[in-house]
Amino acid sequence: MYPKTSQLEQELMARLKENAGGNARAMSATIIALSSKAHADEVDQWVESLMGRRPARLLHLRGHSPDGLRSWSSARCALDRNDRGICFEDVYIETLDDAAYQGRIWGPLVLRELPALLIWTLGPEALNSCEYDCSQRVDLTIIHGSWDLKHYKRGLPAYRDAVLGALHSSNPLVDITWEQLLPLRYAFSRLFDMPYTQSIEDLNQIFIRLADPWALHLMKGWIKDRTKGRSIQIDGILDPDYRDYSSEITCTFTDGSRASLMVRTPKQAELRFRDGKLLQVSLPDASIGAVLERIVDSPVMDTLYLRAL
Amino acid sequence: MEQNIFAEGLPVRRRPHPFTLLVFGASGDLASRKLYPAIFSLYREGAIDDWFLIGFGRRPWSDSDFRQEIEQSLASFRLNEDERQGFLERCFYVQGDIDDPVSYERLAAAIKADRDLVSYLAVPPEQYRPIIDNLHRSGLSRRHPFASRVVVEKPFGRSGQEARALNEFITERYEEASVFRIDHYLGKETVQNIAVFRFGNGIFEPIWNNNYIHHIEITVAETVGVEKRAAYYEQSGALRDMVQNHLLQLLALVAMEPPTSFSSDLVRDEKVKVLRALRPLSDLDILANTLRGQYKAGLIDGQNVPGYVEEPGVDPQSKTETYAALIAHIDSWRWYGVPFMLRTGKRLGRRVSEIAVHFKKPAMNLFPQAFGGANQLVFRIQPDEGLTLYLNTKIPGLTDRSRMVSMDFLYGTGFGHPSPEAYERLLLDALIGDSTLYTRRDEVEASWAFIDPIRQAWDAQAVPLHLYEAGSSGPLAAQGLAERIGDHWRRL
Repeated sequence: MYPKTSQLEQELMARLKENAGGNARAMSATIIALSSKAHADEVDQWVESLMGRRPARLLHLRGHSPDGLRSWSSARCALDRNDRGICFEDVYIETLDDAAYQGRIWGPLVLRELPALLIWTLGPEALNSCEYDCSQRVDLTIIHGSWDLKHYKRGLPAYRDAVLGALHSSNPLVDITWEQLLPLRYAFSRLFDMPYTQSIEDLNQIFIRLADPWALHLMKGWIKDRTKGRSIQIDGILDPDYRDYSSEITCTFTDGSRASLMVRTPKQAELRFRDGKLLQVSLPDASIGAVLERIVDSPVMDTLYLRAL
Repeated sequence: MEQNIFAEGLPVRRRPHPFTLLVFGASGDLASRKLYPAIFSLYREGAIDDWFLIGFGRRPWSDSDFRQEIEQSLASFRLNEDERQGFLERCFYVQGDIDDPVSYERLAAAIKADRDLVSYLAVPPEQYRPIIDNLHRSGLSRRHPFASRVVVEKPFGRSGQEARALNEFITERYEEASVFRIDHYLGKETVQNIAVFRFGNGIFEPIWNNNYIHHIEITVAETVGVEKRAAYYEQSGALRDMVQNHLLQLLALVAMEPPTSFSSDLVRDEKVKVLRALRPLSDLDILANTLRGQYKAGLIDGQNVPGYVEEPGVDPQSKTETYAALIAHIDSWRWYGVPFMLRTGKRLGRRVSEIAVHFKKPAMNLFPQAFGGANQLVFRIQPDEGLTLYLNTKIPGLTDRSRMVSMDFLYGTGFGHPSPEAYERLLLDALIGDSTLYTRRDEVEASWAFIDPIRQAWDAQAVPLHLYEAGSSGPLAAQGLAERIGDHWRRL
């Protein structure tokens, strides 16, 4: 037995009318959040952070639920920064087995003419094999590399290979971890803005200190790709005392001089340029809500990610 | 190495180098309504991080007075204490006289040497020359290796001759690449979208020509009157105030050929080609294809409003036009035979800025009883920035009738967030040094070359001045202008 999607759609319309003052509201995307029941709360928190930022239909698909088959819907609206109503339509489908993941169950609930984004938490191999006929029904698949890796038993190199495999065989893919590195990549790039651009030629060593192994891997990969053809030593260390956003990068130049950046709050980085000058820079918002907002606005894959892998 | 390889591919707006923004007219209306809110928005969004703002003016203010003035202009932002302090502590005031070289010595001493300088002239045009000259004499117009840019507001001259002379004057003191002539219409999202729409969608460019387009209509209608600008407006009129800059810029964007890349100079090269290809209007053309009007008393938004000549500061005998309409032609392979209908006016019934592309009717009409009209594509610039495509569709039911339906795209709902203010975008571009959305010297001069003969004929009263009621759609005679091309203006 499966949930009746047409009935869910009707329920949703009625609820949206109740909660949005009788007016049909604009939608910007369908987000399909797919997880086991055990991880559902965590994944829900990610998508929840989009609330008040972009209006969206959220399909919460939870397999392996001890409660068996259940489905329900809700609609809610919140005011954004400009006091405009931003609405969420939620559809929940839970199943005892993995039936909730199957594209033919939730596919009809995807808003046809808008971007459909699949948040995938079942590991890259399943994505690679198109096990649930999911990726064909969406425009973009979203993974969260550092979260995935914590639940992945075969280690980082195998995870990397699996993601590469998924990239080659499935939809365009976005990694939340990569997107959350944007502030660090941005701050790092600022170290070499004019008049320091020429210093890139003198780079000898780059040392990165981060809290998360997947983020460190991607960061190193990105710098390697950018400096391809130059003999620069790139090292990194995981610092378990660091918080998610904390990071530090030190560059040493051929004459022994250094430039560095330090991130201690999510909003600001301190840059020390090669000539010793200091600068505080504001960082782009890298919360999951902000990342999802960027993805909804521009649902395309970053080709630099593939090269950083 | 010239390129920062680490910045390539980052989906983050470029940040300006450390800079000082120097505002002339620091206590004026433009600074408080547009500039301070724009710079604060950039600060709040983290788009700028190493900057100072210096206000220059005659009033004997302290830094603290100036900061109070700025704070008042930010009333709508609901500042928290950190923001308030963080922003205002970077704002300073220098008291001085724009004609006094000693004032500029004080100014030069207050401006840190190790950063770019952007001088914003939020002052009446007659003050441009003394300011620019004094900036030059005090060494503030060229500060190698740092940039020194100057931003000037419209009107840029009152005629082609004046514009050329002013351009000469400025470029003797600033490099042309450092002169930013602002036209705030170019900072609006829909206006920037014209190029993306045309050149980013393969389906429209093939039909963007005289084979498929019947005419193009550009409207900038305002409900406001002259407000506090009577002295300026009396000298300017709608033709100089709106047509020479905003409307011709919109025309250039909608008609230009695709540039080979979207770089500042290549885009402006294409725009200037359009402006130069505008067919000059002969005396006869001016009589037949232009129309001017002036509002009389009427009703706007339920309020009685006075006529133009009854406004404070306006000559009761004034013949200044508050409404201008004209039909222009572009002599190019693409646009030959396609009329461009331009209109603008004050105290009209509705505030509307839009470009409507009217396509030709189908070659053969299979539905003579039911045809709803030719297709239109409308770029709405304000309010409700967005796009509408009008299509014929069968009316549901047991009938064969059809009518026009609209496919709407609204920026506000399509992306779920509002567009930034035009000044915010333009100011950031000036701080970065990107002049794509600013008008270049040759564009200004080419647009004056088209406008000058009309202005001269109108000044000589060779074209009748039609009165129209405030709150209406403009002079009734404007309809006759539209009928010359076999159509009518879109309803306001």
